[in-house]
Amino acid sequence: MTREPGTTTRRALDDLRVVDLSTSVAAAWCGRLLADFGADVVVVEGADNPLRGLAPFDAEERSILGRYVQANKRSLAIDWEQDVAAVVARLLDRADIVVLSAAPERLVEHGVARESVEREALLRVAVTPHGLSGPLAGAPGNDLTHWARSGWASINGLADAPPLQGAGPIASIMAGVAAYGAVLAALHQRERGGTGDTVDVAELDAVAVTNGASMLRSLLAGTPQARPARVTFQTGPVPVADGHFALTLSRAHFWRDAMNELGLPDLADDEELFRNRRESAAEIAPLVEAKLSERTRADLFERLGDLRVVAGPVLDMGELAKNEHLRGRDFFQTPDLATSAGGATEFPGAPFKMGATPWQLRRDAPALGEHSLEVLAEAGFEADAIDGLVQRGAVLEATS
Amino acid sequence: MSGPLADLRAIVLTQAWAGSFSTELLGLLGADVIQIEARKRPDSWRAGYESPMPVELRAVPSAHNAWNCSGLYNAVNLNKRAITLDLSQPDGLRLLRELIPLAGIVAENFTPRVMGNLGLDYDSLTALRPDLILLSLSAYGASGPWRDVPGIGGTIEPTSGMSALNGYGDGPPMNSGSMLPDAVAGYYGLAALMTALHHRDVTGEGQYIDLSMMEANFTAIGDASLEFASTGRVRGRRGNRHPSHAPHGVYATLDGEWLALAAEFDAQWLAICGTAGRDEWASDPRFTEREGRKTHEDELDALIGTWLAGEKAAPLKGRLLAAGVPAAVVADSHSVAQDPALRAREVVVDVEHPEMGAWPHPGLPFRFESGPLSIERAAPTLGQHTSEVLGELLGIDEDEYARLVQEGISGETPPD
Repeated sequence: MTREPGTTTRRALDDLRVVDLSTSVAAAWCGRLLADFGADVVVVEGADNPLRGLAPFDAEERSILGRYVQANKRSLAIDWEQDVAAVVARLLDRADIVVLSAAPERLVEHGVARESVEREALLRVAVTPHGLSGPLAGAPGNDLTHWARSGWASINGLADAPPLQGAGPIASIMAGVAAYGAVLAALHQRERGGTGDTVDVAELDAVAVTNGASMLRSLLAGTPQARPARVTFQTGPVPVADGHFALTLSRAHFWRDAMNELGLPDLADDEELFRNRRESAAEIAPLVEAKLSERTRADLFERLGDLRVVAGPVLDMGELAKNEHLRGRDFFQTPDLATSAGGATEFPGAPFKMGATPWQLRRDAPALGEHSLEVLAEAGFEADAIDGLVQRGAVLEATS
Repeated sequence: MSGPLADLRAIVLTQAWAGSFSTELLGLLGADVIQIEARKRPDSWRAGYESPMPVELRAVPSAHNAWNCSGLYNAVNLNKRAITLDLSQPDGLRLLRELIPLAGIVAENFTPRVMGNLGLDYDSLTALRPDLILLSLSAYGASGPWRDVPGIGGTIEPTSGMSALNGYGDGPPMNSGSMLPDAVAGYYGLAALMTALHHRDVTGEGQYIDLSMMEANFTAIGDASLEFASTGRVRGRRGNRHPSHAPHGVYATLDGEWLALAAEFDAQWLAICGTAGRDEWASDPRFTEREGRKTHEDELDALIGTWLAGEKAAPLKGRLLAAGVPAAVVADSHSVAQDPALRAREVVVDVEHPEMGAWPHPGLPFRFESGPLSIERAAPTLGQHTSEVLGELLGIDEDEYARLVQEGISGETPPD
């Protein structure tokens, strides 16, 4: 069924049906990416879904992080205390992928038929703190403990202060992206005549692998990488006239051009100094940082960019919202279907731009149970069966 | 090679970290990944030809060439083969063009103009292989006002908004210590390739992917953007705190270690109180509910800090985990290599390298029930597989390979 290149209007995953049972940011982000590239993703959630309880909240009392990771999905709300096993099983029987933040066995413990959970063609992707096997399987963990245990915290921050976690839910997001890539790899195997699979992604593992370059380099160097006593222009952003700015002068010509631009020709022409720049940091940094402090971020970025010197301003979310480059690439997107009472909001856009099958933000995050009735009808439940489920409180409808 | 991508081959011109990590993940999933380098300009993460041998390898007899013994390069290029081709010479470029039809995937992370200058832009590549998937990973993407601005992890962290969120609550914006944006973009590179692969599996159609490190990383902190868009609030730095949960911190212990712990649910708070043997904390109405603990977080941190200052980190971590509390001792870049949990899941694995010998490497970020992934190759030495790959795929014999080395088009050493 090859089509003429360029004539397609499909989205990459629009043949896929996904049930998303996740209650963690990491697993939910995997589901969000599946939805963004075209899959029909139905969140099956209880009224106590922790993703709806994460601060901070917006004026409509919605969790901002919850809204971010649940956009583009539909919501079927159920009460796990009621007999809902048959509903969940029916959805799994129609799905290509189920996204989980716990072991698949937990569904069986909830009474969902094992043949539905373990159906051969189904792809199960479980994103859990420490994985489905190993000494820590089932143990709790979060972004903070993953940054600690992976080694990342030991190199983030300053020497005389505590090791530091990363900004926001980055560890969870990395694990979610890894899970998305892995489950699509498993899908490729299924397409080639393989069967379904269980993809096991531990948040800790996804983060710890990324500290591996620091690990191996440190082992070969004989000493672990440490947090610096202070940030200098060679190790991170330093103060300039209107904020902070980073220069990473990793090559000799970056060094030369940057020092000339800063009006420090003596430093620019000193190749010995460039080679020993780490050792000489204490001596050079005050000179360079004094020059930097006289300049603005925009001025430095423009001049150094013209010279092809790697450098960059620290930008905050207010500044990035009007950033000329992100605007120039149409990065920010408003959902096609704004389901919120508060009107349309701009979301961050595609993490990567696909030439033929674009990312698309079709809908805002769903209210709890916003799609309960339509999802059940699509799954083949008769009207009176749906009424029965709603009557006895097994399925919840949106209240708004 | 085994794994779900065992039927695929990729020709990659990736270098340094983000692109290399993306394509290493392909290799870990079973694909035949062949990296192209030039003797004149090897992968920047090999370190230059002038670099000294790492300290711990100076007494290792097999460690001859520092550029083959870089911890950075060797950490992110497992399961690849590497060949050298000088693309500025007609024969080097011709050989690459003969390899492209044999690979369904090409990946590169040059600044956006380079591939076009080599005559290897997407249109030229699809003339060689119509269903090709091309991943182009760059600092700021292939369009927009900043497209030609160079960038690396250390500058993408500030420009993507991450640095403004990273740091202590009362301190300046900071970078995270080791080019974190490359790791994020690396995972997204795999995600992009797998998205395109499914589309090709269904339709037979390849495509071009433009991955901007700035945008990929922005989405990893996108909730802060949504907070600004929906409330007008510009989020600041939180140190080790969390907007919902308390306690949530990293505390010094008696034995000079640091212990991270958190309570995300009331039950975990009660488990912390029980582990500490402090019934008075459990009954303190300020701390009974999540909101109260958050409001009184300074007092809570002081109490926990005092408690942990009298405890040894590892035994206490074990007791907290057993009680259902998220807890971890802060590992450093040496101790992490011995973590039994990471060893058990092959996240850290000993890999035998032809020059370095056996060292712990970062391994697998995911596992598949249908069959284990395998780490079959250490990171390649410069040009290690040129003769093998050109022979196997293009039928080039030893004499022809010798001519290529003679003419400087290929080889395993610095240029003459």
